[in-house]
This record gives sequence, structure tokens and C-alpha cells, in this order.
Amino acid sequence: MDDLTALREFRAEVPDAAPEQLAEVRNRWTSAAESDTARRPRTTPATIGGRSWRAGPSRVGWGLAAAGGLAVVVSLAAVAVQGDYGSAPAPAARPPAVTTVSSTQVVLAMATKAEARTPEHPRPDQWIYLKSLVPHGDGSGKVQYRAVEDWWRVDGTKTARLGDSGKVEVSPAGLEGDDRSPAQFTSYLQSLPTEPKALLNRIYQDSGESAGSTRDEKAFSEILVLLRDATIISPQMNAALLRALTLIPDIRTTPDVVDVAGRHGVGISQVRADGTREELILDSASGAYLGFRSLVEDAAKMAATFQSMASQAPPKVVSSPSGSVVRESRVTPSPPTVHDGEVLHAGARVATAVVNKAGQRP
Amino acid sequence: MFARLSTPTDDDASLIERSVAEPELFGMLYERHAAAIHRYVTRRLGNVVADDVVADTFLIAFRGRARYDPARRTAGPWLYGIASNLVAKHRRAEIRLYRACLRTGTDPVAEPYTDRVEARVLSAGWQRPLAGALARLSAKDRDVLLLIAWAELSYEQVAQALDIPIGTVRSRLNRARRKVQSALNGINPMTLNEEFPRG
Repeated sequence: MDDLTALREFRAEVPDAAPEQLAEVRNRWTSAAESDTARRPRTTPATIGGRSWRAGPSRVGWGLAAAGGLAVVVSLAAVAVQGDYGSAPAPAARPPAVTTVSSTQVVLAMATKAEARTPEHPRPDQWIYLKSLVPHGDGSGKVQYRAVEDWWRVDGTKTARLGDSGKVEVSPAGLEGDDRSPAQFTSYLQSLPTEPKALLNRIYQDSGESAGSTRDEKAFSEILVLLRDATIISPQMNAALLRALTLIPDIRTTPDVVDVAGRHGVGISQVRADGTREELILDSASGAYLGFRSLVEDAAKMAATFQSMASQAPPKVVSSPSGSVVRESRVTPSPPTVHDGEVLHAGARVATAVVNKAGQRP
Repeated sequence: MFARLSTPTDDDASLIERSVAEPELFGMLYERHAAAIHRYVTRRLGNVVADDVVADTFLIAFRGRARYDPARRTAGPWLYGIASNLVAKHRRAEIRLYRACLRTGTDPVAEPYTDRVEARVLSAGWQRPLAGALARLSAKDRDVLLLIAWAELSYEQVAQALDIPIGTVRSRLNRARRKVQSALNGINPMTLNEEFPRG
């Protein structure tokens, strides 16, 4: 094939942006441009003249426009940082890491085992079978775990699950929230560097939405979620994620922990500012992901965190039967009664395999 | 109140000139060029980053509108030039996207717009070597090649966009095309004699 023809066809599927998307982009730069001109009213007296030059019917007040301008400045700064993933700025000064040498060695040994695994290359028309244990409240207040079985088509076009009736229900991949199809996940994983330091820097960049109150907490959550959800992961990337974990300060290992499926494994955990501890559980023989747990590390601290969060929450607004809105007075709920070491939340991957059809089990 | 608004027959140069005194006229330049530039940047960096790059392109252009050369009747090359400089800040991300396509045969940029993934993967065996070649090009060669192939600029417009002599456009394009051809023919370009005309 002729090179220019091939080039013109490459990514030719990309359509023109929808008018709404272009209007949104327009608002982003015009708000900054408006605040430019607003700041210099004397040099350009007739420029704005009360007219809006934004698309859309309503005029945005100058206050809002200025705020929008600020948002653009912030996004420019963010772009500058994002454009340079591989050499992200060095982490800000922080207390010296106390990740012990021995826990680092344990995780690095797991990485070496994970790296020795045979890679999988499923075809786009195959399915990933996944059986996991998820928390399930039965109304008694005590958390139970139940098994769910899912199938994901590798190309990301369909998902299937075992319905309550026992029948396999196939549906088009309706990706909700940050759910990603196996193919999207694979692409994302392949876009990550395998050099541990570069990988951690990238994870710091990409984990802004992850659970946690600090950069290191968010990064730990992100790596945990990547290992939990990546049903197809190259041995190199699996190892790289574990090596990146060892670069996060204050990571602990516990030689023998039991997951919700009753399996023994190695725990890799991080104590959080809110008094909880997040724990990743790996199979000690293969380094493979088994499950995770969220535990109470310090019940008193957790109760204090809970109370301060509750007092910051906005008062609840409820509708009265007559339709008028009633504002409820702010009530601080009593802190949950928890004890040190209690498991708050957990999950486990019981089985995963590549199969040829939805509903098929390995 | 619309009496002073520009008419669609105004060319870009006079529109930009008038926008120095009447900034809101710059919005019309956006209406004319945004879709094409957005699509170009999306093909290089994906849909999400494209929003940032295009917003920044027009903000930078707006701030530089007083220095626009009115001899250039169409503003396309100027805007593509600004966009190219911004794309350069995402060089690693761009290369990662080509490499993901090279490794998997599924292109993360095109994938969201493709219904029949399998058909595309099967029919387009040339995508992988092509993506690999794009990843290996120098940033300067890639800019020239893609401004020609995707933005459909002329040699002269590329020279304006990137502020380089037209001879340099030719030599960069020749070098880039040879590497892409070699990749498509399954020839390792590294083994070729690397002697190319210089501009």
C-alpha cells in the first residue's frame, strides 16, 4: 500500500468533534480571553461593549468569566505537567520513608515471581471469565461475601453475567463510571512505562480521582485497583506495578494473611491518615493477585476522622409531603463502633480464565 | 447590534486585524477552523487531550492576534503551527499511543469510533507497521508528514506553519515517507543508507 494512502486512512475513523464539544472548548478559552480584555478596560474601551462573544444565548457575568479564566490557567499548568509523564517533577519533600528493607525485599521477590509467568494473548473474540467474591449486606448489619461470575468480551463490545435466575445474560458493554473493557484496560496498561520510577510518577499523575487523602495513598489505591481489575496483564507490567509499590513510602508486608476466600497469601499494606489500612493480598508462590482488604488500623483515629467529616457535611435537605422543602438541622451522627483489626471491606478474585463463549467456565 | 459583526466573506486576515479592536470577532475564526484543528489533534493525541490543546491553541492565537501577518489571507497554517508546538509537549503520550497500536493491533485513538473492532483488526494489517514507523520518526519529521497527510496543508503552508524553509519541508517529508514506506514493505529502515537531501 502507498504510504500516503495508508497514512490518510490511519485514524480516519476519528470524526469531527460534536458541536457541543466544540462549544465547551470554546468556552474554555474565551473565558480566559474575556478576562484578559476585562483587565485592560482603558486600553481597549470599545472592545467588549456589553456584548458577549461566546456562543450560546446567555451572557456570563464578569465574575464568572474571571473564574473561568482561572480554570483555564489551572488547566494550562496541568497540561504542562501532563505532557512530561516520564520525567515528572521529583516528589516534594516529605518525611523520610520507613518502608523497611525486608518488606521491600518481600515485594521485589513477588515481582520476580510475577514476571516469570507465561503471558496470555487472547483473541478479540474470546471472553475473560472472572469469578470474584464481593461484599453483600444481608440486612443483619454483618457483611457477607458472595460469588459473582462475569464474562467480558476481550474486544470490549459485550459483557455477560450470571443473573439471579441462573441464566447467563449478555449485554452490550455499557461501561459505567470508570469501568473499562479488557481491551481498554490492556491498552492503558501498555501505555504505562515499565521502569518502576517512571511508572510511579505516571501513577501519581493519573491517580487524582483514586481513594486516599494524599498522593501516596491515591497511588497505592490506583496500583491496587490496576492489579485487581487487570485480568490480562503482561508479566512485565505486573512486576513493574509491584516494583513501583516498593517506591511508595511506608509500605508494610505481612507474611501470612487470609483473604475472604480463605486463601493464605502475602499482605502488602499501607496505613492511611484516616485510621484505616488498605491491604493487597498476593499468592506467595506465584505473586498473582488474590484479593484486597480494608481494615481498621486505629479505631480511635477513625472515629475522629468520621466525626470531622460528618460535621463538614452539608445539612440534609428533605422534601416534606406537601412538596415544600424542609431544611433539616445538622445532626452529627454517632461514630461507628469499630475495633482495631476489623475488616471493613474486602474482595477476592477466585478464578479467571480465557474462554471461547459467554457462560463458559474453565 | 449586529451591524458591526463581520460578514462571512471577510477573509481570515482582515477578521484577525479587526479583532484587535473588537476581540469578539476572533470567535468567528474559531468557528471556521476549530473542527479541522480539533480533528487533527485528536488523530495525534486522542479526544480528551485534544480539548486542552485546541483551547490553548486559540487562547495563544488570540493573545498573539495583533502580531498576525496580514499578508497570509488564511489563518490555517498559523493555527496548525501553534497546535503543533502544543502537541510537541505531549510527545511521549503521542508515541505511547502509536506503540499501543503497534503492540496490540488495536488503536486506542480510533477504537472509540469503531463499531466493528474485529473487522478492522483483521483487515488492517498495515496499521501496526505504520504506527511503529510514526513512533520512530523524529518529532520534526512527524510534524511535517502529518501536516501534509492529515491536515492537508501544502508544502508552502507547512513551511509557514512550522516557520522553516520550504526546502526543509521537502527533505523532512522525503525522509519521513521513506521510513514509512520501508515499514509498510517490511524493511527495517535502519538498514537503509541514510543519505537524504537537506533543505
